[in-house]
Amino acid sequence: MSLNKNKHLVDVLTSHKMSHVDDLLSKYKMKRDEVKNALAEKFKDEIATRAINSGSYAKHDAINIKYDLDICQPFKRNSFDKLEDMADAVFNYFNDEYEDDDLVKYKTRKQRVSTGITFVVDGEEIQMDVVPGRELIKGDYLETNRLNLYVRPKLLQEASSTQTNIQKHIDLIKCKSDERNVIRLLKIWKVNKSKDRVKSFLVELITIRAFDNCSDIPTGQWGKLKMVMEYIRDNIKTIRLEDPANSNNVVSDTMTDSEKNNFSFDMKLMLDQIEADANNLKVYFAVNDEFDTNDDEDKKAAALDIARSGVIQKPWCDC
Amino acid sequence: MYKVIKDIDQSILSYPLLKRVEEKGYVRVVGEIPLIHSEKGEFDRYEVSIRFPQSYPKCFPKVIETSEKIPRKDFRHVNPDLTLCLAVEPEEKAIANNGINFKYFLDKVLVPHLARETFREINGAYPDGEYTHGNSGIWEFYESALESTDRKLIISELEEIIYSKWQGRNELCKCGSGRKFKRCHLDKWNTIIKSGRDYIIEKLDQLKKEL
Repeated sequence: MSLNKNKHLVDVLTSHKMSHVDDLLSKYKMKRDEVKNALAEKFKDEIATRAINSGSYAKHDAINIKYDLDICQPFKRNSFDKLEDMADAVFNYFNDEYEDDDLVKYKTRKQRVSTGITFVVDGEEIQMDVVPGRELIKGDYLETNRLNLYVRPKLLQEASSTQTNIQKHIDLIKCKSDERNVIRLLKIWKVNKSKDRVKSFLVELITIRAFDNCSDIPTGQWGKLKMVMEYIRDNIKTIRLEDPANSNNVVSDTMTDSEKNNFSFDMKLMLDQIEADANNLKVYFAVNDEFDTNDDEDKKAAALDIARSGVIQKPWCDC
Repeated sequence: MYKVIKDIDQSILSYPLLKRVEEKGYVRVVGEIPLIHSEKGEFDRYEVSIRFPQSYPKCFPKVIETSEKIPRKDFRHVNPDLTLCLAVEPEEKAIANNGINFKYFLDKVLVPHLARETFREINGAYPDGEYTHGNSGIWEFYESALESTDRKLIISELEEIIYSKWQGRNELCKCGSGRKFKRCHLDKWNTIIKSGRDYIIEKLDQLKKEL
């Protein structure tokens, strides 16, 4: 029997829901709150407000095989002379005062715009990025949500700064459940196939663009995913995708031309192979076996109960 | 139209993932219907778009399953216009002839139909079978309702149902079973007459031609 592509993709999404990891998640959230409290206590005079949630969980497009509970700590405009001082103060705080503490496992890491810390909860490691940001204008954070971040130097690139707006990123995919489902499916592909060079933010932006440019949104999960995959295949090499919070941040430039070629080729290959045999969909978009709720016998029994609760027992067709 | 809108708004309170939308003067209901079992919880979910024909509430609303989990094939009872075929025609007439409310339609027709499709997807067959397409399915409906496969007899019984004066409830049934009419054919006839005299007359003409 040929695979019902829509049903399979819905099962894939269901098995990757964050609700399957609720217990672990609540422990992670407790850790996140500890970090927020620690920051609020240490920098009480410098912060503009308590740290806010960012990352995929805050955007509601997380998948349970890889997610982060990142936070962003907004600082007042006059809290530090230089952005670098702000970034170092946060790093030093976790590095010096929390080293070897049970809150922080392993060495605290200096990352490009954040401080990376690793917790161990119930034997599982979770990464948390703490992104410090500073108000652009004194007292305007609560109104505009705009922040300046310090970008640490890397290889041949010098240190710099960049503007961002976490709230704008969160709002970007708010109320866009169709787009979110496609984003989650592409993330599942990305994580399972180790496509690290394909950044999640880029996937979000190009998916939204594909939907915006489509005059007749297909129905069905496969139709929507296929539409976005075709859009990526045809446009990723030439498209310009800007961070909606900062037009100077060209997100599409985070990939080199050859990486874009590979991304386009990956989409073409997948589309061709799924077209040739629908079962190939399972190769690229697999159900998370750990949380496969597709217990057919249970589902069948439930379906039978509901089916027989109606006033009609048999379907018919006037054709 | 106001009554229909009021009925819809009242009904979708029980289906929070559905919403009423108006496009070019036409009312539709769109959104998701989770299938929830009292013990097993949610076991499936479908996305639908529902429109209301002029003759609603004296007919079923038209439903398109937009998540396309149900393959759009005639053997899965999806019409060429993509609407779901929810019931054999005389059965639909019998249920909606006196008007139907949208909540009843959702609870007793659409949700069970979607659950039947979930079962079909897993099992490869419908739990209680299916009617053959077209007029053959209508014959099967009458065969089952009147518990007879003799089509000539079915035609004459249908004619009797609509044209004759029904015998008294406590009289012996004319079929010769030896039982009172109320214990024999009364319920069957009541089931059939619910679809309306005019409809049965129209069907009789069609079915007679097929004899």
